[in-house]
Amino acid sequence: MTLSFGYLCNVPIRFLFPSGIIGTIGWLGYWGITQLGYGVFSASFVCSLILSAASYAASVFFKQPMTLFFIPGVVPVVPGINFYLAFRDLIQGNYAESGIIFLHTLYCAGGIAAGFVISSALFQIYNRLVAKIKRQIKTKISIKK
Amino acid sequence: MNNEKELLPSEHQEKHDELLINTALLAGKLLMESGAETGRVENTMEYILNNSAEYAGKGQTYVLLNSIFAGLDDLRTGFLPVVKRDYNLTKVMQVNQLSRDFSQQKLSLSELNSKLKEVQSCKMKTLTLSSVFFAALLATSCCLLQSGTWLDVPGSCLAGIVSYCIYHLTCNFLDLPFVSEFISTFLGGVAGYILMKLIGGNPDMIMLGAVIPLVPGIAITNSIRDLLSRHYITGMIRFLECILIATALALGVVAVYLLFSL
Repeated sequence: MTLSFGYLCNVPIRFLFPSGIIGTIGWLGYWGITQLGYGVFSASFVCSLILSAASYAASVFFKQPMTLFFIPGVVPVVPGINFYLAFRDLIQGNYAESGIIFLHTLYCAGGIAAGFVISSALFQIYNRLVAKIKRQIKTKISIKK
Repeated sequence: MNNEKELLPSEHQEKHDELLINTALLAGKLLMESGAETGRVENTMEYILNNSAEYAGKGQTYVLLNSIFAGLDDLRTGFLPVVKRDYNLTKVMQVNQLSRDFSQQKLSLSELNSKLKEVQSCKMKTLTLSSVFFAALLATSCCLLQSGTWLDVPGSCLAGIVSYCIYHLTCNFLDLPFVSEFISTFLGGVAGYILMKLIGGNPDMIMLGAVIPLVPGIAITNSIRDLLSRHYITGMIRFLECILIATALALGVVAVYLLFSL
């Protein structure tokens, strides 16, 4: 599914397969956590943490922007279908059900977004730490010389 | 004579400013059109504007979902509207690469501008056999992931193909924002429903197939991401657009149900 969505998003063909693998990882994470009995929010939150870690690794490895892997990867988890279902129920008159699905969707989207924001904050901290350590090593080397 | 000599560098400067702002705007527009998030657009534009030492800290940007502003302190402000948005990650990658080259001084400003124009002139998505195949694959895999059975697969596959094709055709011919979604899900749903009558299966799953190529899932997530990163207006616009698109899709599907329950 990620593979096909990636193609529809015009991901360059040589990156299609890695993004497919990332999508699989994310979906497996989501599925596993929902099977363990946790709610949608926590499931999508953890899943987006996993996903962004994977896509960060891929973006470092291939030296490409992170969205290239994140957007196709997140597609299986993203609550697009639920959103549509909510409005379908609304039009058909099942107000209670539509409200539930709509809230579900919002939680899911919120979870993914929160996971992404937190993970990007973590990566910033990580990058700064790495840069600092590198600088310290350089100064040490220069002192030794 | 003396006066003229003094004038020339300032004119030159003005042209340079104009080019700088236009380039930044073009890069921002390309990124926005191909589905990058607002933070990335702003960052890239600020990189381009503040690249050279004399402009450091002078460039300012303001990015909305449908328009982009860029300015240099007291000098000049530029504006570009963004009309059509889509997901085209190749373009995001290319623009990213170009701006990275530019900030490492590998490219000059005019080169960057011409290369961005090249990227812009690349054709948008076209309807090819392989994209149709991948739309079918998308519908199939989504149907299976949403606990559909193999019996539902042909119907949803056909529905996905039909709705995807019709969406692209109507997008090119009609300039009506939400009508093309409605028409394409409706026709895709009709095709899938007829196939379902022949083979059998669950109609809900088949409607999923018709809807899935057009569903605004990523846009919802992006809108909440924008809200969390303090781009309130962009987030709200995205959210509203998602609601309208989802309503159009749902109307299309409900119209199919109505048609067949008559």
